[in-house]
Amino acid sequence: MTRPAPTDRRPDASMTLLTTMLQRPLDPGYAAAANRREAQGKPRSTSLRSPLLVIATVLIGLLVGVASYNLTTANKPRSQARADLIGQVEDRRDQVDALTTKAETLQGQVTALENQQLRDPSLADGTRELGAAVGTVPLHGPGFTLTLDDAPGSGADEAAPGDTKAQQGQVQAKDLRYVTNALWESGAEAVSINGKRLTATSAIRFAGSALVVDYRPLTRPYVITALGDPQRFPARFADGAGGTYLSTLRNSFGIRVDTKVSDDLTVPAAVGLTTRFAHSGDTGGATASPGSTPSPTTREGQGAPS
Amino acid sequence: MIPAIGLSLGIIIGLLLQPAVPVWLQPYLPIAVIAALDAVFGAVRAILDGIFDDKVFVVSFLSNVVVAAFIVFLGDKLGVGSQLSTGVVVVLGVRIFSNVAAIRRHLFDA
Repeated sequence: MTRPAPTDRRPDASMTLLTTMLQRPLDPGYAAAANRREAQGKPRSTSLRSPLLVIATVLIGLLVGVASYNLTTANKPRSQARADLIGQVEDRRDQVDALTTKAETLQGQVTALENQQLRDPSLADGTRELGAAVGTVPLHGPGFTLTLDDAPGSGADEAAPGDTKAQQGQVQAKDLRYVTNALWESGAEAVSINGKRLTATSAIRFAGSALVVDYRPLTRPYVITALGDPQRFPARFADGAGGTYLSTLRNSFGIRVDTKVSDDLTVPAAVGLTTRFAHSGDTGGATASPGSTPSPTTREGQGAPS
Repeated sequence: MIPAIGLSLGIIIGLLLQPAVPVWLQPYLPIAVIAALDAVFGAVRAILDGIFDDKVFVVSFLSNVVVAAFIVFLGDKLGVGSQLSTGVVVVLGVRIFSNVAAIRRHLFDA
C-alpha cells in the first residue's frame, strides 16, 4: 500500500468551492479571451465603444431602474390595495356619520311634527313619555357617567393578537353588557354609550377586536351616560352588582374606571329605531310612533319614567 | 465613459417609464439586480486589468441573470426559495466584494 505523496494534495482540497470563489472571483473567460486575442495579434482588450456593450449597459441600467421602482414598498400592489381599502372604509364611515346626523335631524322634525299634530295635550304627553322610555327623543337630567378604559399598557393598539395577558386588560363587550344591565336594574331611565342611545333592541357585541354597539364600532374610552334619580340611583348602582363588577374589573384586570355624578347630562335620541316584522295592533290611535314597540322581556327595569 | 452613460440612461428610462412588472416576476428582480451588479464589477475589473472583452461581458451578464433566476425558480418549486435566494446573494456578494477590492487596488494602490 503506497500512499500518495503529501504534496499532491493541498490541505484545503476538500474546500475547493470556497477557495475558487474567494481566490478567482473574476470570470476566467476574460483572461482566456485576452490570451486568444493576443495570439491573433490583436490588442488584449477590446474597445469600450462596441454597440453590443452599449446595448448591454442600457439593459442593465433598465433592469436596475425597473427593479428600484417596482421594489419600493409604496408601489407594491398589496400596499396599494391596502390604501384603497382604508380609503373606502373612511369614505363609508363619513357617509354613515352624515346619514346618522341627517337621521337625527329628521327624527327631531318627526317628533316636532307629531307634537304639532297631536293637539290633545294628554295624547302629546303620552307620546312624549313613551318616546322618552323607548328612546326616540333625546333626554337630559341628573345622572352619572362611567368611563371605562383598557388597563395601561394593554391598549388595543399595542396588544398583539393572541396575547392573553394584554387581552385581559381590555374592556370587553361582556363587561359593557353587564354594566348596562346593572344600570337598568338599579333604576336608570336612559343609557347611552359613547353617544349611542341604548334601546330595547340595542346589541353590544364583539366584532373581531372592536366593540360594536348597534353595528357601529366604538373607540376607547367607553363613556356610559346614565340618567336616573340623583338621590338613589348612583348609590343603588354602587352598592349593587354593577359596583361589585366594576371593582373586580379595576382590581383584578387594571381596567380604568371613572365615575362622575352630574346634575345635567344629555342622552341623545336613538337613530333608526324600527321593527321589521312586528306591527302595532289596531288598538286605537293612542299608539306612539308606530315602529317602536319595546319588548318588556329584553330589558328588566326599563319602565316608563312617568 | 460610454458604458457609464449607457448605464445611467437605462436607469433614467426605467425610472421614468415606471413599467409595472407582473407579480410572478417580482421575486426575480432583486436577484437579477445582484447578478447584473456582479457582471458590472467584473467588467470594471477586467477593464482595469486591460483584458476586457465585450462578448464575455454580455454573455456573463446574461448567464448570471438566467442562472440566478433559474435557481430562484427551482427553489420556489422545491419550497426553499428564500434559502436558495440567500445562497445566490451570498455567492454573488462575495464575488462583488473581491472584484471591488481588486478595483480598489488598481485605482488607489491600496
